[in-house]
Amino acid sequence: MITERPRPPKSRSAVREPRWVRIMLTTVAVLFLGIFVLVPLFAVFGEALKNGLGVFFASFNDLAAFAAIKLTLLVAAISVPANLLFGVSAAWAIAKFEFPGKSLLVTLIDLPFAVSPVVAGLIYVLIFGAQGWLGPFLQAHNIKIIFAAPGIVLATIFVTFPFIARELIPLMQAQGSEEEQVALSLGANGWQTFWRVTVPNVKWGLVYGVILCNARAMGEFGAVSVVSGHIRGLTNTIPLQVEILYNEYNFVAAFAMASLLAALALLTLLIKSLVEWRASARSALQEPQVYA
Amino acid sequence: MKIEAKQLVRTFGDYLALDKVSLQIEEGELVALLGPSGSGKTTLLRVIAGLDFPDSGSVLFDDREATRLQIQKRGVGFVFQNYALFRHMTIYKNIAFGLEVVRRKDRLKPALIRERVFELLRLVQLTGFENRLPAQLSGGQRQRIALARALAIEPRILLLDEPFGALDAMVRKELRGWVKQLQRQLKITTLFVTHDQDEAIEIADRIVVMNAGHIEQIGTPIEVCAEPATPFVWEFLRGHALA
Repeated sequence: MITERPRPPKSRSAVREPRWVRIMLTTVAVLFLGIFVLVPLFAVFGEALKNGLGVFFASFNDLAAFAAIKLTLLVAAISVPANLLFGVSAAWAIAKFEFPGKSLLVTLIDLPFAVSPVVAGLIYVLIFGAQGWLGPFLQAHNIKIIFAAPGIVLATIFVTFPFIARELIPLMQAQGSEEEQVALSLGANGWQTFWRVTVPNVKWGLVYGVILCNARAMGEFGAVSVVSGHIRGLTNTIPLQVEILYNEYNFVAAFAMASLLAALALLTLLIKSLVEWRASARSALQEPQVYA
Repeated sequence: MKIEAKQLVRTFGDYLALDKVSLQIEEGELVALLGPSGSGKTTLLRVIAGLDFPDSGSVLFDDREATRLQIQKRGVGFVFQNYALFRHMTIYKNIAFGLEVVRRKDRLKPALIRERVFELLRLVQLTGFENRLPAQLSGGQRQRIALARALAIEPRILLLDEPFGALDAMVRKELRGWVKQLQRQLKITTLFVTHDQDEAIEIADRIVVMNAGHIEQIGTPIEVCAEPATPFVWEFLRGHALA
């Protein structure tokens, strides 16, 4: 059954832009998104599937491709938990304590956003590379960091560490620490307070941060490219593998690999919207809704 | 429980929040810490609660040293001005919290916890609200839940920070009468912070008037109104008398 909902009056409001302005702004936004986001996205899948599904799947039936996927997953599996630990600790410290050097820490967390990823990669080459500060020591002990998986993990952690911390800091700051203080006064220890009070309060922010962090960890190119050495089947992640295939004019395979990343991005966005939807449904329930 | 503070000093940088504050509160008393903002009354409450430690001086509970005792071990019920209810938990879970975090071997059986929670809900007259979230309650209701949650652990003292500060005038008047009645009934030593003279005069057994980090006068409402000890007390309580 359709019920008539009260509609706002159709008269032109004093604070509303004229119709043509609204249409123009919407058109610009939609066109821009279409040209810069949608068309490339379709192009990726289009190129990958150009010669049919058989060729598409055959692209993955390749040792180098398989190795790249495995390395990418490994890197994400290490760097996301590492940044989760770091992000939660940093956000906790920044939001709940006063300590000297706090503003410096806040600034440093933003550093990876400000620094070019290539520079981030070079930093690690300078430290751990053969000619770097620790190079002779590492060579003497036969430890490989640069041009090996450890270097890729380090570079990825560097590039992705702001994501979780940045998500949590404003949330924790807004919530203050009174709930934690109450929990302590009621006899809870630090561990119980953290798991029963702090974590549930920042749950959705945490999930959101992890999703973004993971997407970036899997997709990072610049920093990883510098430290990887591009050894096929050994130190290539998916983005690096895409570049190599492309440079070899192996377009279908390149786009097939790229479509994997694109699919991952779409999945990330889907999960992200789901999380936001859940979170907003939750906060709608928590809006001051006064009974009696 | 009897509370004693001896020569408490607390500074924040250059700011002297507590300047050699000494105070004794008897078993079962309802005492108001009254003063303008910045007078050190909340700092004193937090030091007694164990949410803050003094730079020097000591706190004694029943003549036993408690200055450095952790808040978990003090057995204090603390209620914040903004209630600080656990926003993601139902009212039931909020009240049960203090009973559920106890070590397993000392913990009450679930059925007993349940019984205790419902008993507290009856005490604060909010039976039937156990499945609501804090955000679905009015300010006065939240305040009563915060009180029930604090009482769940059977605290030896009750500390209330501006307990009626965030409520509108009508609810405030109603609630403070109710709190006094409850305190009488439970006979629990209670200390509350307020900047509202009428509130202190109306419900406190004794009033501690504070100013700039020290105590100006301690006395019954009649004493501080009739015989102000310092010009500050006279000025601060002028126009406020026992109704």
